[in-house]
Amino acid sequence: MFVGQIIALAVIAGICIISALLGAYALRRALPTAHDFYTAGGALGGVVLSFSVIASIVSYVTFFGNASLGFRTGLGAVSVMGVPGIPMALVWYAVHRKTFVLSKVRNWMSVGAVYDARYGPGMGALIAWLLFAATLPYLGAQIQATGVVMQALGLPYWSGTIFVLVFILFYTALGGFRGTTYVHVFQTIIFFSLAMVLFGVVLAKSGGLASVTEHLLQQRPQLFQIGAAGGKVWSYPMLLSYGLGTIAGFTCMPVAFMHTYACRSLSAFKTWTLSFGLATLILTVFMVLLGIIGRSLLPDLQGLEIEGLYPRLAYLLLPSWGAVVILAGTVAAGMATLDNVVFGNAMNLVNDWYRRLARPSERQLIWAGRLAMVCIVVVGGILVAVPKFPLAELNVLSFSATGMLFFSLTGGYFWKGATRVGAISSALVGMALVYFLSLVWPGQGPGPSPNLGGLTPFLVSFPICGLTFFCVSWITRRAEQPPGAAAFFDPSLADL
Amino acid sequence: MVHFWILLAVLWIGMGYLIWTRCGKNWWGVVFGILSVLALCPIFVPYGLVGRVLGGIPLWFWSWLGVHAVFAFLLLLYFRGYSTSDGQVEQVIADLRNNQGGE
Repeated sequence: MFVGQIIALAVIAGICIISALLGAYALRRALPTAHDFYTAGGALGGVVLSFSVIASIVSYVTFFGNASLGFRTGLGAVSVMGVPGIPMALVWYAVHRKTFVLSKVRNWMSVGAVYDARYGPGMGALIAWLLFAATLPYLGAQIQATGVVMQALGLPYWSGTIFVLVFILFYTALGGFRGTTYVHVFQTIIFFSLAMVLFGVVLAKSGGLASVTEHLLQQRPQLFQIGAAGGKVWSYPMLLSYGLGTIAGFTCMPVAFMHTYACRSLSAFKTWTLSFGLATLILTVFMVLLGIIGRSLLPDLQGLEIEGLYPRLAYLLLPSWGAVVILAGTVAAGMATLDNVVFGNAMNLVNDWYRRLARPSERQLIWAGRLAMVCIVVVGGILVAVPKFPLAELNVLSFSATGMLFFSLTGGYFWKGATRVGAISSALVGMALVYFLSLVWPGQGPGPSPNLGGLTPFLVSFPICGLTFFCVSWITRRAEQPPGAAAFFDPSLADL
Repeated sequence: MVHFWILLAVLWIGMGYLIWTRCGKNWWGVVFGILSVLALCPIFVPYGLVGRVLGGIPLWFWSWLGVHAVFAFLLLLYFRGYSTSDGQVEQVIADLRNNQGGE
């Protein structure tokens, strides 16, 4: 095991050091303006952004969470991350095409900038804090999973995690968005190829997909059903809820805005949206199948042990050095997602809140962003100091909460009648409901509950959130619109 | 389950309308609107058929994956030849900058 620990340390340290060097390389090229730091000057191409967005969203959850969910609940688990991929590309194109055009005109560099322009000053700060609250479970899930990987590699949980977090902060704070994008290209190549190797090995050593699944179909047919256990597992509401929640959530997450702002052309935008959809679909299907095969190879896993299915399979089927390399490689995926959540929230809090409070210089804006990144990582670490929830569930909670901004965002873009009070009400009501129904309501968790009429917290909250938005906007329809709102409905945009 | 089907219908109409209008209110919008909901929820596979298996994998999953493959292919086609071009967007950006001075 001692040799394994040395190999693991070498691979992780190698990934960290190369990432830091790429961040430093980006700093050498970057212009010293806040716009360049937060959006890479809006000059990146489609291929680089495709790698970047894949790395940003494909995370430990894609590997560990999907494998665990596949193990526990079967094939329907593809609905959480894989199924929304292609429809999400279309929804992003429909919604964020306008973000792309207006960001070029107004030099936006945060999510709240959209809200400030559409609904008036101060709205952006509220959205920045709400997004921070909504993405905290997602951030916590990545930190928690880093610890799980460290343990699986025989390294200490917290010191290993802190080592990785320090490097993430280093390259993200150093190179800004351009730096993280370069790092993501490297990280995507590492984790994608290693995941494919493990999937291939598992298939080869388990006798092929068809033979394993046919065997499992006889032993545990519920793993392949929709509506198993009397309609409780992967029922239609569950499938729709997870798919729609992921789409609505990701449409409003900082990652979509960051990559849209950084595009140099609409072609680049189309390239990364479609590439992302295809990549997540492929990876998720493979990881869920891995989880299902794992059910036949390691049938006795229980509780939070199942979260470690991916590393356990690697150790079961590969020589120890090979397993260590594969696992250490997944750290690249976790790093990419972590840096993205940290960077996105820092970008929002600094540009939408701090800038309004303190009127800082360009240089101070960049340094405030760096400081914010450190604070965000500390808060995320505290949140998961004692792991309580499985990774996939933390993810779903985060997407569901972020999805509550969907109506205020799309309504603001496409409906002249949307008002500031309507947007605030829907965001607050929706997010409070999701958290309340997921964490406090009897039968808690993001899945369907008999106490909610068989629906999930998301499916209950989403229509209420939409209804609140439209009703309150209608009631307050006579309120004056801010001057910036007119640009959202400029006749030239109607031709797009 | 009645409330679920009502909810699904409302979401379908809402999402379909958003996509139809954003794709230029043409047939692309209709096709993508339908595909989006089918891709998100395999309601075209009744619970009763989920037991059918092909190559060790249930039929509902293959058909679901098929919807995604068709969706991806059509989206690629749409992006490459039928959606807003770079030139159009640059013109709009230039117009907006002239109209508002990029405020």
